[in-house]
Amino acid sequence: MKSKHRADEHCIPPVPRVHEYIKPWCLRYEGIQITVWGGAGLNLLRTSVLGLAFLMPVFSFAGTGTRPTLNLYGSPGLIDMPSAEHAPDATLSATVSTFGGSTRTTLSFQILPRLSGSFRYSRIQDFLGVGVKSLYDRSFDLRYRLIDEGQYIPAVTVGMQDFIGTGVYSAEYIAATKTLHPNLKATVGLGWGRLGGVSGYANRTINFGVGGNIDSANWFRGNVAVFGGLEWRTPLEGLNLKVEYSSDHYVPETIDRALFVRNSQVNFAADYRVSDSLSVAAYYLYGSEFGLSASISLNPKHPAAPGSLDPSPLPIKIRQPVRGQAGVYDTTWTQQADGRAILASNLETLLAAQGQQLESLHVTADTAFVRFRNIRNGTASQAIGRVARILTHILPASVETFVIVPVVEGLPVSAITLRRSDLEDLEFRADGVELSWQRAQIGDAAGQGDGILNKELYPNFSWALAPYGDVALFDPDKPVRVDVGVRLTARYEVSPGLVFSGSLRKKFVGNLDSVTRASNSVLQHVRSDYGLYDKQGDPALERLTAEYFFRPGDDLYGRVSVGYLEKMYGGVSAEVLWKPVTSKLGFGAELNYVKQRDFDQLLGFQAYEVVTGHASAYWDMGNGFYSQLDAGRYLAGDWGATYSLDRVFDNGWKVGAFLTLTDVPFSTFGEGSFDKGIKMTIPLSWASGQSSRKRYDMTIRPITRDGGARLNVENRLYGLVSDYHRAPLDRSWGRFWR
Amino acid sequence: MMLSRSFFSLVLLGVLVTACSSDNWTQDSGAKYFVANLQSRFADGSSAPQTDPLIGLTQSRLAGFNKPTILAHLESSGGYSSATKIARNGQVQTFMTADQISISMNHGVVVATRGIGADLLGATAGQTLAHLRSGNPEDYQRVYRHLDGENHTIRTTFACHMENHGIEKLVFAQRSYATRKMVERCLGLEEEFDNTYWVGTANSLIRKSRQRLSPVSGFVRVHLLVD
Repeated sequence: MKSKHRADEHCIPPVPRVHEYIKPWCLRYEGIQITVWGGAGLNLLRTSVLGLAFLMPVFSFAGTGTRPTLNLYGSPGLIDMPSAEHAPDATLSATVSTFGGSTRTTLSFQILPRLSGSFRYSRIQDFLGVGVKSLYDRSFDLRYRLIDEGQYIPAVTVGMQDFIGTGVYSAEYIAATKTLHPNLKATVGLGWGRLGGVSGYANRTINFGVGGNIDSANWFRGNVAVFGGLEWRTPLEGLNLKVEYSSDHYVPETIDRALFVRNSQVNFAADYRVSDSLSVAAYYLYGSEFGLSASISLNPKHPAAPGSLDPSPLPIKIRQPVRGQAGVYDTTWTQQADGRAILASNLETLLAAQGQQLESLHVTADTAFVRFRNIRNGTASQAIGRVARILTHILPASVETFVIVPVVEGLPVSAITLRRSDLEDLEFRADGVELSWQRAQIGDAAGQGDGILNKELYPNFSWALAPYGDVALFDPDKPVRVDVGVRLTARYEVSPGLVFSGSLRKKFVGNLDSVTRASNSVLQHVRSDYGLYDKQGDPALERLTAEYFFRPGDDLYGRVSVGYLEKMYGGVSAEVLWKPVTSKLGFGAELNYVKQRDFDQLLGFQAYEVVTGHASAYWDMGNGFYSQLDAGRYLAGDWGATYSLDRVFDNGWKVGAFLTLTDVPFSTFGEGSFDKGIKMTIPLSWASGQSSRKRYDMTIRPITRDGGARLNVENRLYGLVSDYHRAPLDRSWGRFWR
Repeated sequence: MMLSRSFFSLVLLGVLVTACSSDNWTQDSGAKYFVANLQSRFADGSSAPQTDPLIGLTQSRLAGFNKPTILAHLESSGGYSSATKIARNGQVQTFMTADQISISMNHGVVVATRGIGADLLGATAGQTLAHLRSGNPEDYQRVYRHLDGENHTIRTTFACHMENHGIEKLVFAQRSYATRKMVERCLGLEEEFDNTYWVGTANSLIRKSRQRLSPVSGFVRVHLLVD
């Protein structure tokens, strides 16, 4: 009332409070809605669309129509033999198959349209002694399609099976597949190693307890044998019948050991596609054995809903110029003493309604600098678009330029400059996506937009209590172990960039503490004593840190973390990152001094301490591929480098692999020879269709040893800032209008 | 030691137990989305009432509407919803349903939707409007844009032409309207479709239409209830 009274006195149009601004949008709730007709209700349209959307991943392959069936190794193929076929680009499949005492669990990914890779975990019963010990083995495959199928020529694929590992399934092949009839495919191939007939495997050795060796001297060497078969798509929808002649004589299983009886090289299979994502198959193999398999496939390119199921954003509000003067807007509001504070309050209210938080607002007669935290949107461009739409409702008409600055952990990570008149002009232009991107300016945010700080944000205390699950794989004693419990996290933000946070967890049930194998590593046990941490760490103080994030200069970002940095180490970690907003390259350096924590994961430390750190290079290679090279000193004091290659989808999915080579000799490293693994990130929004920043990260290491082990400090800078930089914004700019 | 560790919160756990926190926005409850999806998976519309709300609609009911209002029916979902005009930008009016799905139309030609999921990001309408008015049978282009599963903008061009299917009487809400039924036939590289418009002979308003949105969402039927 006070401001209104003062405004009246000076004949200044007052800056209205937010409820006056949002009132027009309440009309949609005030309008009479047809709720009784047919009893359908107003939510029916949306609910039904949700239903359609949820089924999208299930039917996501319907459009391709040609996803090949998988073989016992989880690769496109006949029965036990491969074919030349490939899954559609980016297909991810998990297959479990079993026969003759062998169980294979395979994760396959179509890395590129022509290139696929598989990681497999196998169990061969009694392989190390009848009734004594089974062999648990991990293996990697690569397949590359040399020739696409044409009218007269077959598709041709070259593949390497178990090319890095113990070599139990070591084989190479060239396969050709031709569609003879829409319902009939034929495959013929040449195999080496396991697929090289009775003597093909003669020169191969099984490197028990070593792994990680690349046996390139034997690739495509030795006896070669022919394999082949037919696949018939029956009139019964989803049912395929297959017959093959196998060139794998199962020498280690049937000749070296009597694990099953091999009477024939001819195999039979019935493969039934339950849905486009689920297949099951039954087999009769080698004249003596029955087998089964099941596979699940999905494609990161096909989320629950292309676009988003989020509610419609506010339409752009069109300004009214001063009567009779096009392009001229009233600026007398700038004279209102509390006008800017009211604008900030209004903006905070509407941003909060969209799940965003206002950090600060600085507004002049023609320009607004807005800093905000993106709490809800996994896609940065959508968050920026929604802020822009809100600004058209909040800001006086004279404000023509919006400078929108996303803030992450107190760091202003980029500045997106938009003209309000462009928003008005392009909202319904069919080419509005392209034009708005051309007209937007994406730049560095250092020093941009300091303004009225949202005082309600600082200091801020928040907490959360949530369930957790922790999974451990590949221990021969128990290949899958699981813990379930609750995790309490708390966070106290003192000022922009200064955060105290911690994480405490309590196990409810699980068997991670049942590991009985003691580490046999000859290196400092920097990671291999994980079993002791699981045994003694209940409850566990997972993390308790003070972090400070800052911008040392243009294109530079900094972080200092102090405290219990991760479950096994505490100390100090400092990082600096150079990453221009418009560059596809970034460089960083991290230096840590840490001590190993007690196994009980409370407050104590062990004697071991180390200075560790890396220089890092980041490269957005384009076409969805990212490379990262980290070179430096690892936790055990070894020096070396880690190379990571990720395929990153612009909906948030990531699938990647990494390997680390250090000055630790393979023999000293122990089983596995060097550190390597695969990793995945799955965004919740992919499955739900709703905006969310929640992501599930998964790293699968075939084995955890002490060489090439890095500190697991949280909030490394590249991951915090890069989503808001030019290249990813460009690729998903369509979501700006969503 | 042959053991490896993947540290991640299991989706299963996330959806079985709802987290609680001091700030609901910061804790995306997997349970919420999972439950919603399970419900919607089985609520595919087949068991929901599919009664056409136009049946039995009276002028007295429409009298309560004080703003332009449409009735939208998304064929792929089978659901109906009314939407009220909430904004105008140039020639484009935006209508919003109570559950915040919006349809934007240029004189009745749909140019954008938001909130459906596989939305129409944008579409040209100028040539369509011109040919609706003139009845000119010559070919013209329409350009549609939608987002794919990776948030990439997909631009699709169609060659279209307009056909006049003669006068047709529309009756709803106890009132009859004389309309010209116009069919816009569009052909693209991978898709072809027909948009159908019933254009009032008295005032050239599109009283009713059936228009294609995107490859996934299919068609929306729009009735102009209150203009």
